Amino acid sequence: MDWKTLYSGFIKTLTNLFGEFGLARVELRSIASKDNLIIIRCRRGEEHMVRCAALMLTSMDGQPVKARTLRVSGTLKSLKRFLSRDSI
Amino acid sequence: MRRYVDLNVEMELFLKNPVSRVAHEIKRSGFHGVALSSDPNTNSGSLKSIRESMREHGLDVAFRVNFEPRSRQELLKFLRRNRMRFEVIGVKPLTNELATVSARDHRVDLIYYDLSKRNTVFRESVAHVCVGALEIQVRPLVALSARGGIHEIFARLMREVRIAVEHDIPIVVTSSARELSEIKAARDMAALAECLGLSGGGSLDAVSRNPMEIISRNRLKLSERYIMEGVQLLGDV
Repeated sequence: MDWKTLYSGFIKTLTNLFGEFGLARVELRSIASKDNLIIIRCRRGEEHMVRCAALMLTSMDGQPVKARTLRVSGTLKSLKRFLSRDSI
Repeated sequence: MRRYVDLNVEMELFLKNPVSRVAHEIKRSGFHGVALSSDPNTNSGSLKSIRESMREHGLDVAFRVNFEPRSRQELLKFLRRNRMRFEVIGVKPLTNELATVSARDHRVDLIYYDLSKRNTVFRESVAHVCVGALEIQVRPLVALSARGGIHEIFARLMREVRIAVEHDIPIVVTSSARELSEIKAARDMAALAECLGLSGGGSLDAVSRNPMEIISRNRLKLSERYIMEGVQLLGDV
């Protein structure tokens, strides 16, 4: 699944849950993606809304999907260090 | 460090998948323990073997039973029979009268509602007498959201959470997973609780401290050392 599909799936779920106003409040942006991983940027303090969207995301384009938050961080550097670890 | 517990994982999950795969998925989701929901007539041997296998993977397992009473007598009979057999008891009341009876009984740990029924909800009158905890299950919520009209269910849950917080009733968020894909990340479940109106710390407690307290309290009550509320044997039995 490409990142555009993943990202648009997140946008759709967030809009379903919190509406356009909520989506604007989150200030969602996709930063990078690789294989099944996607790095999403959001406004500080609103990450629970993005996590909630990940929890409620069950399908995209008719395909069943399971999204899980692996890590929340304030910097890309620490996220990339986390992703480079063998455990992921 | 917080230890996360999913207080409702259905037996069906273990029947469909190998225990090692389930354990791997639960650990990846950040949990340190689960409560395994089963039928009260399930063979205790198979439950114990699952518990042993899960312990080998570093996961603690408590046994749970769910019940949907149709009358007060049926509920009381069920509690008499099963309270000493299971570490966690969850009740889904079908009417508001049964909700009141279930909520004020000390033997009931968790009370949860059918989200598709609009008339049976967690009300102030139930919260006044409630001695257990209010449970929010993720699986039915996700299933209903797929059908649309999630705003009504969210509004209902937000109202119930507000009532529970006002009456100091602990809230527990569980996955009630029947499939591997239904096992959700612990912190994502806490995020849902935060969206429903709990504070940051309170939402984390809903998947860590509150379920842990229920399990440890009931394990103490089921142990040989327990005599009565506030009295237990110390030293060798």
